Amino acid sequence: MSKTVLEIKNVSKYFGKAKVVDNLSFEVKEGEILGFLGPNGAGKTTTIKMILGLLSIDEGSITINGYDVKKDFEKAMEFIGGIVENPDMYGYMSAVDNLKLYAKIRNVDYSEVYKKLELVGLKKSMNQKVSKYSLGMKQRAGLALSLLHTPKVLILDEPTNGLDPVGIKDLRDILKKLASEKGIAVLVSSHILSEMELMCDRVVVINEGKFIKTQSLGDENQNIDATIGYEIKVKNIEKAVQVFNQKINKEIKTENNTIYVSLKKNEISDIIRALVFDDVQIETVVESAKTLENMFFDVTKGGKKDE
Amino acid sequence: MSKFNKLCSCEFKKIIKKKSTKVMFIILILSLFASAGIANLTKKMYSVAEEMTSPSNYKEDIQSMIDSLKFELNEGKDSLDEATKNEKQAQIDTKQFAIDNDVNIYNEFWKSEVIESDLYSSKLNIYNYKSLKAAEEEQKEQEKYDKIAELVKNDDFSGYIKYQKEELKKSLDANTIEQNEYDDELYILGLMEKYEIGKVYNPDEKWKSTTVKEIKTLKQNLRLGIDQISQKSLTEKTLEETKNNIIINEYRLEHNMEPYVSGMGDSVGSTRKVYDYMVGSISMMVLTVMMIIIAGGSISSEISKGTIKFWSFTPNKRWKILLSKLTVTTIFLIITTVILSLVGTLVGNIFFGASNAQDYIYASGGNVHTTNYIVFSILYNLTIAIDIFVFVVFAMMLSTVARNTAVSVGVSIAAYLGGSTIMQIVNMFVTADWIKFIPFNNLGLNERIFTSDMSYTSASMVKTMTGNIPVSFSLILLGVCVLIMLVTMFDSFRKRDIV
Repeated sequence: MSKTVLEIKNVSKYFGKAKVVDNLSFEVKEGEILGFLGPNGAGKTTTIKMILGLLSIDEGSITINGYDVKKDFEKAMEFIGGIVENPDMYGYMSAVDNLKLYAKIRNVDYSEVYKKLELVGLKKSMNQKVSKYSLGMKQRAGLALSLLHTPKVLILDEPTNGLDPVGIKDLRDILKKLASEKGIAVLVSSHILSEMELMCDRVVVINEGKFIKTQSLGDENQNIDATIGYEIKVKNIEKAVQVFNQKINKEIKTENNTIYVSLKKNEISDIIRALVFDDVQIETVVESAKTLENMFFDVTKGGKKDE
Repeated sequence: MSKFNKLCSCEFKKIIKKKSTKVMFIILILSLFASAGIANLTKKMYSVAEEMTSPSNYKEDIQSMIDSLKFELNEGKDSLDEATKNEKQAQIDTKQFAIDNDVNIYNEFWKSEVIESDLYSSKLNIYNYKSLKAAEEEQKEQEKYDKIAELVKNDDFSGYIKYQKEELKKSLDANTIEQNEYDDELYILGLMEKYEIGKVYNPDEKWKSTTVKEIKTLKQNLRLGIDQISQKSLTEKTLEETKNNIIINEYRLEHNMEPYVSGMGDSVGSTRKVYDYMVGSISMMVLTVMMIIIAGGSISSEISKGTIKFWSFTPNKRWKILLSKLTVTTIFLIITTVILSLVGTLVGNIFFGASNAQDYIYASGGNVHTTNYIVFSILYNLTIAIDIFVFVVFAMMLSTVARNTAVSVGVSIAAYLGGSTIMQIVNMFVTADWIKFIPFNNLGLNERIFTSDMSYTSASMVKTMTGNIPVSFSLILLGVCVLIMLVTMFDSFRKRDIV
């Protein structure tokens, strides 16, 4: 069993009288990429800021690699790196100078600076001033900076902001590689659910500061019982509905020529066989990518906080 | 290298790489040239003033005065009494004598003085004796008059001193003065003779006669046991000060070292000296503004730009980050002050010549010591830096508490520029004792620590204007203020969230 490196235990935070984080608990294991989901104002950034010691922790405790953030701040911070909100750097200095400053504080060799800049693909423009960078380049620089000391826990708040598709793929590859090779635990918060689905091993969903649920993603062997959404596009929809009603006892939704159905993974082949048998002309069968989105809307009630 | 040192070196790099710092540095160097220009201007203003008080076309001037005196005498032939008539006649005669012998009575040198005082009184005596019909006395006085007139005609300076010494001896013999007063007066005459003070007219040496006069006053103070400026009797401390100032003044005369201000501000020192003080005020003011901008933005700009986030989750406690900022800003202040002093010396040497750079003179334990010019200018500017440090801490505290660069820089600069002016106005109206507890009244330590560059009279006036607060009291009070600000600053930075 891999080790837990980041543990959040019964954490609460008040802004004035409002409780923005309410008795939140979850943990991140070594080598795991954990997605941190929630609608705007759910308390994601607040939680991240508490982990990084930017905000004080009102109740509960946060431990990083066994060190309590509250009691053993300096030790705990040695194992953590991250970007909060924006990858802010000193605009009047080049990326290299920025990273060198940080390397000095983190007690890292300067050679590491060039390695990390190469890793994020910023080596060509590393001598430019950061103020001249685009947001995507800043994100890359920020990532290089937070990886400089090879932390045990990497915290990324909206890291895909401003990145182009190549950049997003690069980021995903880098994170996956780091997680698997170096056992870095990554906590990513993002709004782009499709990205999260591709990137994360597991997601934690919070709403109004409360823990809602956690779900593993992508690992098919473990999810044999999990239901997956399918979109089946057919030529003759009436007939297909008839087949479903008579032979297959499943709840379906229809829209134009498409049937939406939730199934277990091993059931789909039987259904296709049944449809073909009754002369339903199937055009496409697609595994719906909207599972996370559906779940997200479910648990956050459509993301409308005020209801 | 320890972690804290690393933090500091990073902070230092951040300050140096900022464009605004570079711009301010250039302005700082340019302000040295501005100081040189203003020093020249000040000196010129003094010489213009000198020209106005002693015009070169003095003969016409005196002639018109004689004419008007004659007219008055003619008009008042019947109404004026004998004594007034004698006075006017004596004035006419002496002024005529000045014209005949080409003496500009507006200038300050011995002949003008002799004509204005000795000759005039002698002439007046002659006329008075004439009115009283005391022929014998009149004859005696006429002899005296001729003797003095002869000295003027022959341009005999040492003869004049000798004459004065004789007069002094006569007074002693006649018991009109005491022995110790006689000694003092004789000593002053000796000084005048030795350094030929007033022998020829030279506005650049005006300070010498002022300095001799000051020595005379100080000796009088010692004799009477009263400080004539503050009208207080001498304490042990002021007695020591008076003695020290006498030997400093003697040292100045001996080594021909002009003070920055002589007498009651009658003349300013060499252009170089004026320049040195301009550097102390103008360039150090620019430095203050520069440091306030650096300190006022140190925390708030990092918070507004978000860069503070990277620092705050490095393995350093927050107070260490703040302390490193404070330390670096202070070190930067000290280094810049030293650099400014050195570059200032260089600029001064280029504009006014290295030979004009004057060592600082001070006295302790009955002996005169000098401090090397460069060492002194560094020390002097560092004392000004104490004031700047107070404002740096103030700006940094505002920056931490208000988290707004504009507010912290604006308020600090306003306090720096406006504070002393407002205090001057307040001090004019309020004479209560508690006024010395106001921090603004305790700034300006440089003027109170390095006093012997000014004449004793000017220094005492400055002291009276600033409320006679002892330097040690000021240091303690400022220290307490800084401590309070530091506690506020650290407490606020440690406890508050970074949102």
